[in-house]
Amino acid sequence: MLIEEISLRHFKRFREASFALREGVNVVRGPNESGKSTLLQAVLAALFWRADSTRREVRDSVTWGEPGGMRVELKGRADGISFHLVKDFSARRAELSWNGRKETDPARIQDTLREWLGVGTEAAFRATAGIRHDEVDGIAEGGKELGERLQSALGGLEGGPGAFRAREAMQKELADLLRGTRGTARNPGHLARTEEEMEALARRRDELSRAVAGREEARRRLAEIGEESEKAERRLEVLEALIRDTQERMDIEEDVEDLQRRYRVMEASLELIEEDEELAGEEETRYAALREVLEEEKERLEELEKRRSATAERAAELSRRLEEAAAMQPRPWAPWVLAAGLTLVLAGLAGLTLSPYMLALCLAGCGLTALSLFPGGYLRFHSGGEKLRELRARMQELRAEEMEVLRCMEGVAARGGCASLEDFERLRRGYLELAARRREIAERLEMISTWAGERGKLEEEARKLAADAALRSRRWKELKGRTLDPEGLQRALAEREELKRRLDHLRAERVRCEVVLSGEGQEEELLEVEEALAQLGERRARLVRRARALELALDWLERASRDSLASVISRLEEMTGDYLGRITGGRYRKVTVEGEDLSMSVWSPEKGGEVKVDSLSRGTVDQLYLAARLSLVEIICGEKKPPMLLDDPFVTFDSRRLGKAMELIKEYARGRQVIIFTCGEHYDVYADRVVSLAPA
Amino acid sequence: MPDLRIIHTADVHLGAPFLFLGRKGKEQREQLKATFARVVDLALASQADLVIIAGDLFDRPYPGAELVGEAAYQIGRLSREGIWTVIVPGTHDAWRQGGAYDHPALRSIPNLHVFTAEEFTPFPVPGLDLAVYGAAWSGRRVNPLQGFRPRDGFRRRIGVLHASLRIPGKVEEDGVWVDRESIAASGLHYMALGHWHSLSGREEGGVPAYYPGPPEPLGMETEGEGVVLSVGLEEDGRAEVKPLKVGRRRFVGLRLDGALLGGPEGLYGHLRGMADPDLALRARVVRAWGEEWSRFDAGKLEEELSPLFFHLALEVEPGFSRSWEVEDFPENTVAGRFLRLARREMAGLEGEDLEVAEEALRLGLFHLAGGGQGPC
Ligand SMILES: [Mn+2]
Repeated sequence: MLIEEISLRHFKRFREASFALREGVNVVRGPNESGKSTLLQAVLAALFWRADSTRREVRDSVTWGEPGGMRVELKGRADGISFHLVKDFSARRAELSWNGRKETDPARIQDTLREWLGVGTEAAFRATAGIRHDEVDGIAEGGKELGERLQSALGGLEGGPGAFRAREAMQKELADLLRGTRGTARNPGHLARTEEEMEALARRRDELSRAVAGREEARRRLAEIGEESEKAERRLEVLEALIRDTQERMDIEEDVEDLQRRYRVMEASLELIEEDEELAGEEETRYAALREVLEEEKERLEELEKRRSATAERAAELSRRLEEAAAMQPRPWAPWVLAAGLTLVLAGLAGLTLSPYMLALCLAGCGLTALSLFPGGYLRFHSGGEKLRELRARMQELRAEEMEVLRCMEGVAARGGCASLEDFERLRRGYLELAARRREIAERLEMISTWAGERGKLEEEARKLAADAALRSRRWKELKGRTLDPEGLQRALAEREELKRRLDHLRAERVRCEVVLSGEGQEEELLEVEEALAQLGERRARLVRRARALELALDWLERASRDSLASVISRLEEMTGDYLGRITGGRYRKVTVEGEDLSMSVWSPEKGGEVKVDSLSRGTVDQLYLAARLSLVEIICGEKKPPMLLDDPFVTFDSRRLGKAMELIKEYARGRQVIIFTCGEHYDVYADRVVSLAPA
Repeated sequence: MPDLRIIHTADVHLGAPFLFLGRKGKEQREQLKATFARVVDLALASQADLVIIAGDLFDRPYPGAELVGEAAYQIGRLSREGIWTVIVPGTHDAWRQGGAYDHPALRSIPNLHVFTAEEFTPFPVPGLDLAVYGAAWSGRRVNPLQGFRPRDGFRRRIGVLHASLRIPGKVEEDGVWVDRESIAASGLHYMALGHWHSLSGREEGGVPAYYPGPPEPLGMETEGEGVVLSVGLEEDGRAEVKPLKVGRRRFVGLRLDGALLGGPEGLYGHLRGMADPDLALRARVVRAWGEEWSRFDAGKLEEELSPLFFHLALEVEPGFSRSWEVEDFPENTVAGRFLRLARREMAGLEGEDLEVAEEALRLGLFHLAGGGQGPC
């Protein structure tokens, strides 16, 4: 494409201006602030800004103080055909006419321009077909810069570092982001820190969730406990009353029994007292004389009794001895056996006449006779009779004494009013029995009653007891309806124990619940932690997405840069070698470009080998770079030949280096358009046209 | 002069979490309490006869004791002035043993009635010649108004329910529900509803039935105007319903057109113009296409402008790939190849994967353009 005329209206410092350009080297020269860069921008605006753009940059380009009317007009040729382009940014209208055709749609105008230029955006255009003022500066320092700058151009985005550097930057960002996510790191990255923080918060959240759940449970439980306690206490009250009443009833039953016993004792006492009174009467009436005699004749009676018993004793002794003596008398069998023996002898003797066997009978009679005489039993029987007679005599003496004693005693009995000794004895026995009975009664009364003998007091006491018993039995009847049988009581007691235990347990549990509920603010803290977690989760998701995006971008970029290098390198070597050969008269013709970093070396026929960039002269390095750089424009833009825009690139060059560089530019500008923006006059000699801008 | 003045609120959600607000959640939770206090102030100032809370006063059945204490304090203020409060438990704060409404702090308030039965039961408000009918929320799908015919000697009757309004084919119930027919046939003078988080309602066959929505907005999705309803019952039984603003914060979700904004500067200016310390803004920028957006960092802008808002969430709808025509970048450049490759790879993607790919494309071009050292 060739720009032949550019006209501006209300474009920054240009209210109205028009500049003619041509094929070959154009130099736009003017001091600072004369509008060089504005003109450069105007060219870019004409080529790439959409007429209907709302971008700030577009709005800001209107001449200060003008309400609008910003317009850029371009006349030129593309693919040999004249065109006329008008972009009215203020009216947001554009018109492109060429070859009898006319286009007014801003988007389609851009499509057509893109086709003519081979590039569609300002950034891509500036990166390829523009050479910035600092781009070539310092290029001769070494091959590394040269490669890098070519990469930047190949990258396709103005000012970009090229694919290699872009990948490095992204790899670094990715590594920083992911540091510490796989294994531990001393300085964990953003993602690992976020995850760490989330883990800690999640732990805290779980803790708090449990605590809050526990508090809810405690609150629910507390309400239950309150209800159950109340019920248990009510039941306990009922039970206590029942047990109390039952126990009172049992006490009354016991008391009544006691009262009855005491009453019975009193009754018995009264009976005894009555009996005693009767006995006392009898004593007076029946035994008054006897009692007198017994008291007066006490000693004599005792003596008589003693004698009587001694006599009786001796009599008993004697009769015993008499019996003994009688037993000593031999039994009267001996005379009988003697008689029988003699009879048998006689019978035997008589019988001998009849039979000799009768001798045996005679002999048996002799035996019996002998037996009766042996051992003298008959003699003893005779002497025993003597002793018996003596004993009987002494017995008669005793009897006489006994008779005397009896007579004396009968005298005493007579004084006691008794006809006989037997009567006396009977009376005395009766009296003694009565006395014994009275003694017994006295003893018993003493034993069972405090008021022994106090009949009046006893009777009063008995009345009191009876009244008391009546009172109690009334109360007993009252209680009877609301008390328990013993079995029921046992059950009630057991239930009461159980209830008390349960209440104790509930009290303990209540305290526990209250402790759980005493810590405040856990609910609020849980919410805060959840909110913080949600925020961190969002941040984490963003970071993860960014990491994924970086990984994907890296992958694409690597593939894109590989493909792009593969398609560029051989043509780059060829075209660069061709340019270099043309301006060095064939001294250097062959150029080698290394793969990824685009570093270069040249073939020196003189040295017969590859020469590194470092060992070339500065001028030659400049040429080498420019040749490669311009070749790249051709490769990238195809045969479109867009105008090259050079923004004072050789400003620091000495005249020798400038001459060398311009040799190449001139060569390149054949059949093309190169526009150099500069403030000096050193390009003028190489220029096909010079546009001089006046200072502001 | 209305015969009877009622303040009707619902869905206060004291103690609600605000996950999307992050660290600002606590502040908004405090605001819920403050706004509830304002509702009480309003009832006192307007000398209301009755305050109705139609469910979800609390955000959970067992709120912290401090929260119950705060609510009890506020309701106690009404009670001391002789103003009755009636509450139906809602979805979030259903009646539970030992729960909020079983708490001694609330139980001991004299002029407070909480409907705990699931049946639609009347509560005659002492001294007002008024019967309030209410039923506690239950998970059962019932319409308490079905076949409801009030039989009482009161001059005025009001219903209170935490329920969905069933609109056949549009809104189905998720528990207790009512519908227009049953409201119209209820014979009530006013139906106080809760459950829906937006101000809505109308007269149904002569029976005004309204949802007040939360008095303090709860989130973007609750288009909360932050009002309570002031209901005046006239002598002749007609009701006049007026919304009164009590809420402080606004929650706004916004879609901004990047193409119309003309770049990040335009967005910045627009957001600055909206700055409001009581505004929680969620802005989504769509059509943020074109070179001017390629270096835009939503996170940074969000951070920078956040102090001017109560809360600001800014995001850019992915769609960066539409910023360029593939042909804008010559095929032989790395950027050109990258763009073409990305376009091909993105063709089959959707959802999250597509968003990641959009971001990858943006990042790749950003770095190819020398985007800078740190993360953008
Ligand atoms: Mn609710």
